[in-house]
Parts: sequence; C-alpha cells; structure tokens
Amino acid sequence: MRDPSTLSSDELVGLIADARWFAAKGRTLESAEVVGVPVADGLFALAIVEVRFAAGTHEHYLVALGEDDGPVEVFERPEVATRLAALAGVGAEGARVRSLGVEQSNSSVVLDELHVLKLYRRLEAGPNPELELLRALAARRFPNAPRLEGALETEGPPLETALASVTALVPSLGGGWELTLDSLGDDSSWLPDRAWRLGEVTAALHSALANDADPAFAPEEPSAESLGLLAAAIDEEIASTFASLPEDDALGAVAHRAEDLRDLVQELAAAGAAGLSIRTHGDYHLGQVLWTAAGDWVVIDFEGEPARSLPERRRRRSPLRDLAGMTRSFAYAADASVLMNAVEPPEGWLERCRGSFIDGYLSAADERFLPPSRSGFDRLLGLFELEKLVYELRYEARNRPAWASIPVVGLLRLLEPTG
Amino acid sequence: MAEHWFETQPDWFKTAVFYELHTRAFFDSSDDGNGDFRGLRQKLDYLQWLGIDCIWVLPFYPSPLRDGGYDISDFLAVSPEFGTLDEFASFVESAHERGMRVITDFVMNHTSSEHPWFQESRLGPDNPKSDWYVWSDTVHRYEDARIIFVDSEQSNWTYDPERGAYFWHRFYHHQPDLNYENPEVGDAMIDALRFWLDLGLDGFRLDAVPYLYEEEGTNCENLPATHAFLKRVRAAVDAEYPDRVLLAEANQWPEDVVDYFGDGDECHMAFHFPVMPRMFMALRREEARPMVEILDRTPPIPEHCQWGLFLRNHDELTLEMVTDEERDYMYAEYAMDPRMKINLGIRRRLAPLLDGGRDEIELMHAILFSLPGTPVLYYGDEIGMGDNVYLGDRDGVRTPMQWTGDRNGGFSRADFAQLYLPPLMDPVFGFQAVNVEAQLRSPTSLLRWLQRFVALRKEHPVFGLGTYEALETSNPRIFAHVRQHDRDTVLCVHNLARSAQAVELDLARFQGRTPIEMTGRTPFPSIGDLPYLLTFGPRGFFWFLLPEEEPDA
Repeated sequence: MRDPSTLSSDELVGLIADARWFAAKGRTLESAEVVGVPVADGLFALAIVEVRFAAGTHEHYLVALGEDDGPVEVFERPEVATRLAALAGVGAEGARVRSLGVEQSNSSVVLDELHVLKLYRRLEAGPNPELELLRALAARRFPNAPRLEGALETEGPPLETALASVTALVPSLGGGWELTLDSLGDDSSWLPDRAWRLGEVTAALHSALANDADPAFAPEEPSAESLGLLAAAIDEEIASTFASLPEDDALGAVAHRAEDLRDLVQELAAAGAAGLSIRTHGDYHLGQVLWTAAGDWVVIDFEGEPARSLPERRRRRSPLRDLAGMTRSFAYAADASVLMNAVEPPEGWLERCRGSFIDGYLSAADERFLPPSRSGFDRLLGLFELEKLVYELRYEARNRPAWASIPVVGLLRLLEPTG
Repeated sequence: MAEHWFETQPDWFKTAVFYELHTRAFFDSSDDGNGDFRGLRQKLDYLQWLGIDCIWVLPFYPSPLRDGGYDISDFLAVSPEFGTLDEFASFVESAHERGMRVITDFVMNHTSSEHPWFQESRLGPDNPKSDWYVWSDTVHRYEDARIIFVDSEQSNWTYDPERGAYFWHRFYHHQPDLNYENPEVGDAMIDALRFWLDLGLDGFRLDAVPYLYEEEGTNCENLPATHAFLKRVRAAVDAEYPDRVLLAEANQWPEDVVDYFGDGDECHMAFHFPVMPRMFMALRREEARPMVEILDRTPPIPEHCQWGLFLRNHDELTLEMVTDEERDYMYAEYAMDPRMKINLGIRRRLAPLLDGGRDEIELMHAILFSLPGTPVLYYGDEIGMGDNVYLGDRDGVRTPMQWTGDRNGGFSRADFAQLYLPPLMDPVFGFQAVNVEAQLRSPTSLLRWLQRFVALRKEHPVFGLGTYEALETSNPRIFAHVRQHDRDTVLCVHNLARSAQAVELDLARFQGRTPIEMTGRTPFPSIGDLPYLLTFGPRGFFWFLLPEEEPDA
C-alpha cells in the first residue's frame, strides 16, 4: 500500500470528516496531514493525522489505513484487527471479528467472543486514562472491571500515547442502559432492585482508585478554592449555554431561569468541605455498566468524557461527580422510556433508583472522600447534577431538540425541589 | 519529562499565556510564613482554570536574598524554605500533568558574593577559580559601561580586601560578574542548565544576558562574544532537550534585542521592554502614537521566535528605554509620591498604576493580548492586587498572594509576624477587599473576566502566530491593527480616550466581509465602499473576526 505520508489533505479529510468518532463535527476543517505512522506493515498502516481547523488550532486522530481503489479505513477487517491485537500482545490469529458499533469516540471489535480490541481515535499526549485506570484497578484486585490483556502504545513523535487496547470480553446479559429500558416494559423493579448493588460497586471502585502508594492515584486534599473554581466553571457554562439557547417552546420553562440557576450554583457550592479528591471513572452512566449472568455489575469504558481534554479527564475530583453522572442517567432512562417506547415508569421509580443507589454507595463508601455532613453531601451532589444538566441542555438543544425536555425537567426539579 | 505530557511542538510558546510568580509569595503549606513548592503545587488547579500554559517561577535557589534571590549562592539546589528538590520535581510533574509547563530564572551574568566559587576566587590569583570572576588592580577599566543600579552603586568595580583587588559587577556590589573569558565558567553554567532540564524544567528566563562579556572601549553590553556564548547554550539545549524555551531578559532597544534571537539559533523569546512604558504613556496621553511608533521601530524577528510582552512584572516599571522627557512625563503621571520611584523606574503594580480603573485594566489587557507576542501575566494582577510603597526595594510588588479574606489573606497560617512580607491590608487593595475567593464568586469580577479573556485569546492562535499591521485611523485616540495568520484575520480596535470616540477605518481590502465581534460573537454591519465607522465608549475596545465567507447564522 501507499506510504501514508503521501496522502493528500483532501483524501485524509474524506476519511475523517464523516467518521462517527470525529469529535469536531461543526468546525471548519482546513486541512489534514499525516504526522506519524507508528505502525506500518504490508496489510495496513496506523497513521496519526493532524486535522487543522480554520482558526489555526488542530487535533490528532488515528486512522487504520488500507488501500482499495484509494485509501480506506480498515480497522474492522478481520486480518487487520487480529494483527493489531497481536501487536498489543494478544494472539488471536484467525479469530472471528464482529463490530461493537456502539461507541462514539473510539472503535471496538470483538475477537472470538473473548477479547475486545479498541482503537483510540482522538489522540492526546499523556497517559491514556483507560489504560491507567484498568492497570490500577487490576493492581488493587478490583473484581468488577474487565481485565486488561494488552496495549499498543507509541512514544512519538508527535506524541507519546496509547493507540489500542485489548480487554477480556465480559460475558454479560447486556448494558445497564438497554436492560433498564427493556425492563421498564415488564419488570419495572429491575433497576430499583439492583441500584443498591450498583452503589456498592461504585463505592468499591472509588476505594480501589484511591491509592496512596501510587502518585498518580494518591487522594489529595482539595485546595481551599476548589469548590469556588468548580462553581465558577459551572456558572460560566450556564451563562454561555443560555446565551446561545435556540428559540424553542420545549425550552421555554427554563429559558428565562439562567439567573436562578446561577444563584443555585452559589447556594450549592456552599457545601463546606468536599472530602478528598480522587481519580474517578469520569464518564459514569448506565451505558458504562454491564449486568453479568452471575448477577453483578461490571464497570467498563474508563476513558472519561470524550469532549474533555486529557488533563481534565485525568484530574482528581470528588467521587460525587460520578454519582451525579449515574443519577442523571436514571432520569434519562425514565424519560427516554417515554420518548422512545411510550412506556411511563411507575410512580416513584426514579426516586427509588436514586435513593437505593445513593444508600448503597454510602453503605460502602470511604468517608474520607465525602463531605462530612449529609446536607453537604446532598448539596455537592446537587452541584454536580446541575453541571451535568447544563451540559445535557446544551447538547440536546443543539443536537436532539426532541429530547431537550429531559434536562428541562431535571433543571426545574433542582430549582423547585419540593415540587 | 515534558515529552511524556505534551505533543511535539517546538513553537508551543508562541500561542501560550505565561504567568510569573514568586514561590515565596504564592502559598505557604508549611506554616512558616514563606510560600513553598508544596503550596504552589496545591494551587495548580487555580492556574489551570485561569488558562495558564507556562508558569515562570522566580529564583528559588539558595541565596542571601539581597536581591530578591537573583543573588544565587548555589545553582544546583532549592533554597530550604521553599522545600526540597523532590518537592520541586513533584511540582513540575504536577504542572505537566495539568498541561502547564514550567520555566525558571537563571542568572547567567553573576553570582552572589557568598557563592563558593567567589569565596574561592577571592583567595588569591593562584587558586583554581581565581579567574572565574573579573578581577582588576585598577578601577580604570571598562569605563564606558554605565552603572545600572544608580540608586545604590557608585561604580561597577568594588575593592575586595581579601584578594587585594577590584572585582567587576554590573549590578549590586554583592553580585560579582562571572568571567566568561574562562571557558570553564561557560561549561559549569551549561551543566547547571542540564541539571534542571533533567528534572523536567521546560526552559529558562535568562536574566541580565547583555552583560556576560566585557571589552575595553565598548559599553560592555550586547557584545559579539556574549551572543556567541548564548548560541552555544542554545545548541546544547536543542541537542539534548527538545521543545524547551530560552527567554532572554535584555532591557534594550528592540533593534538591539533582536540580536538575541540570532538567526533563530540563539534565544527563542526575548522580552520587548520598550513597548510596555509606551502602553502606559499612550493610555495617559489618550493617543495611540507611542505604541504605534515603537512597534514600527521593532524589526522583524526569525520565524520560530517570539516576543514576550507584559504589563507589569516583579521589577520596577522600567523607564530605561524612554527619552528623558518621556521619563519625566511618566514620573509625573504615575509616580506622584517620590517613594514610588526606584532606579530608572516606578515600583508599582498594575491596578494602582491605573487607579484601580476596571475599564483601564481591561483595555490594557486587551492591547497586551492583541499585540504580536506572548503575554506574561504577573501574579496577583489578575485580581487587581495593589502594592506597598513603604516596603524596601521592589518588595512592595512582591507581597503575599491574596486568596481569601481570612487571616493573612489565606496565604499562610503562620503568625502574622512570621510572614516574609506583610500582606496588603489597606481598604482599597487589601486582602479583605481583593481576593481570589470573592472574585471567583462574582461573575463580573476582574478575575472571571480575565479567565474568559485568556480562553478567547487561546481559541485564536492568530494572536500568537499572526502578522501585525497597524491601521491608519482618522482619530489619533484610536489604536487599530490587523493580525493575520493563514486564513484567520482579526481586527483589533481600542479607544485610548477616557471619553466616547468615533473612528473611520479604511477597510477597503476587506470589502464584503462581515466583522464578528469576538467576545459576544455578534455580527456587525458588512464592510462596504465607505470607510468603516465604529463608535466606542470610554476606554472601550472591539476585537473582530473578519471571516472570508458569510457566517452560517
């Protein structure tokens, strides 16, 4: 095949601009260039492509290049996937390969129903949080995460980073999101009955992620202004989100409430002490947990929020941020059930899930990571839920207006907690 | 090592925002009244939030502290009150982890008289270090060299009774100049740089570089031998340590400073000193001319080089690079109290210089951020900290960072009497009125504004990479210029007057384009045949994008 560095900007843009994993869709692509070829064999090449935007900024993406009539993306081809797995240290020659077409930000395939091979698409310099967390969890013998079997990394230039990973496939009945939505049709107590355990597993996850013996995972006392910084960041998000909110009746109930929300930020940020900051999952929701045949939860996908920069994703935070991700996910499931399946969850379903999850978490949590009082806990959790809600509102208003009612309802609930 | 945390990018410093701080003044983690590296590490989240790319740490080496730590008595150690070498390395690593780089001062020209090298050298002409410093039996050598610290020194020569000879010093008499004619000195200094680069440091601000060599019959500044040595330093750094930066402190005219870039083979960056006093002059005179002139007078620089720009720093607002008349004007306008003067400059911080005027502070930042170069912020100026002219030397602008309204401004839990300097407590600029905690809470505070403004600048690499072209304006009170990089074009227009103003700009070559105001993304009327009319409130400014295509919305 052709030397990837000879590919034209137009050819590369053609490969990348419409890919699911290309994160910068609304931005004007100026040009693209191959800036590194960490793997090249006769079959395919892994090429690091620098994508440049009109303003002069850039991002890096990884493509698996092959050649048909022209350059094509070949990651999911069995011979390429097995070869990549071998490079990552996992022999799977002749394996059956099936796509795991669920992710937005990366690409994964399953090999022989045993291994999950993941190709990281958007590359940033620095330790890959997923590899870091999986290694740390294995070292602590945390049982509720997949086993890391291999990794492919590059030392650059242009950057030192992970390209691919192989984890053991977790045999499961499905992801928490699908199982919850399915269950609401017939067995609506399915999630409420399992939420306590989910809380316990989450608490164990956080305990395993806090390790004084490892500098990258040592819990830290947050600085005095950390809550102030968090509140300021959320406050700016509210201001910019509401300033650019489209005209839409569905948003009407909150469209004029920006100032109330900003007041609420100040109120919730008076949580007092937050507890120690630790490494967290970072993008925690029902889609990131599997329910196994053995009847337990397994946590997957440790990369953190794809829209955030690598330093942001690796930052130590209050573990309550993960809890907020999950409680918001419960609310999403309840509303999505109505929107997608026209199935109304029973009265009190959300409160049961949320309450049981939080109580399960608190029953097993390390108190050093929590605000010292229950009221402080509730306020800080509310602050993180508000942060999520603002993000949801902006995302849905722009991309899925039909779903905007979900964050709208959530925001109103936060504003009028008694209602 | 930085390579572990950053993508390969030799020009990273061109689009960066720098932040200068004193470890001693930032945060005290050990309750002894001095800031330290453990404390600084705890405040990294704050600097990351502010959008800082590179932290410039003022000297932290062992020192008798007779010149704010620029009098170094050991180049290879951390002064104990700041912590240990391990704590320093851990701070650097934690900064890298957050996407921030770290540079520090390195004083090439001289050492403290307490440095063991000098103690050995003064023993007599027969010891191995005897000519590591510049010794003379007479004071009648290099007589054309000016005296820099005119307030405290009478001569560049001081008699050392121990050696029975005079030693050369361009700064204080307790800071003997190293003798670079001896190649061992250069080797030792380059080894010292390696020591810190090996610990992960991303570069150096090279202090007082014009004075390394002396030559009879010259003013002993900017000599060819000095440039040759700096090229040697650069080659050594490039060979072993990719993506580092050397930032020259050469308080000279731009036509002399550009020599410190060499042909792109000397320093990566150099401070542009003369532009700074002219920004203050322009503001007070309400006219753009002083800035336009000095920028006109600034020669082009090699491709991979960059100016460092600042409003205020840890030194006095230096007036060496202005005419006598201009200096008198600056003293009259900005140093009403004689205590505010020091050497040839004014020892005040940004906010008090501008009488705390919010519009003025924003305007000065806007101009700073719009000029071709990398802005360097000075700690505390982001919240509008004040100064204390009753403290000696330049200590008045080096008081503790004001984090909260609590005891000692949240800087330290030590007893007040233990603090290295008293925090500001006056009703206008004291920590109860001006602090990080309060400003974080208020969306309209200077701190929150600046955080947004840093983010805005960083969204547009054109400010760090683009060409600069001043626009002729119909109104002398308006400073207008265009920055261009690839297809990104930005028009920056600033009203220096304290009254509302209007201006007509000739934008014919951008005809048909629709300017978009950058802070609010508001489209303005398209540019047509006629001169483009803009009106401004007092000290107001606009930055516009001039996109080639019609905007989508």
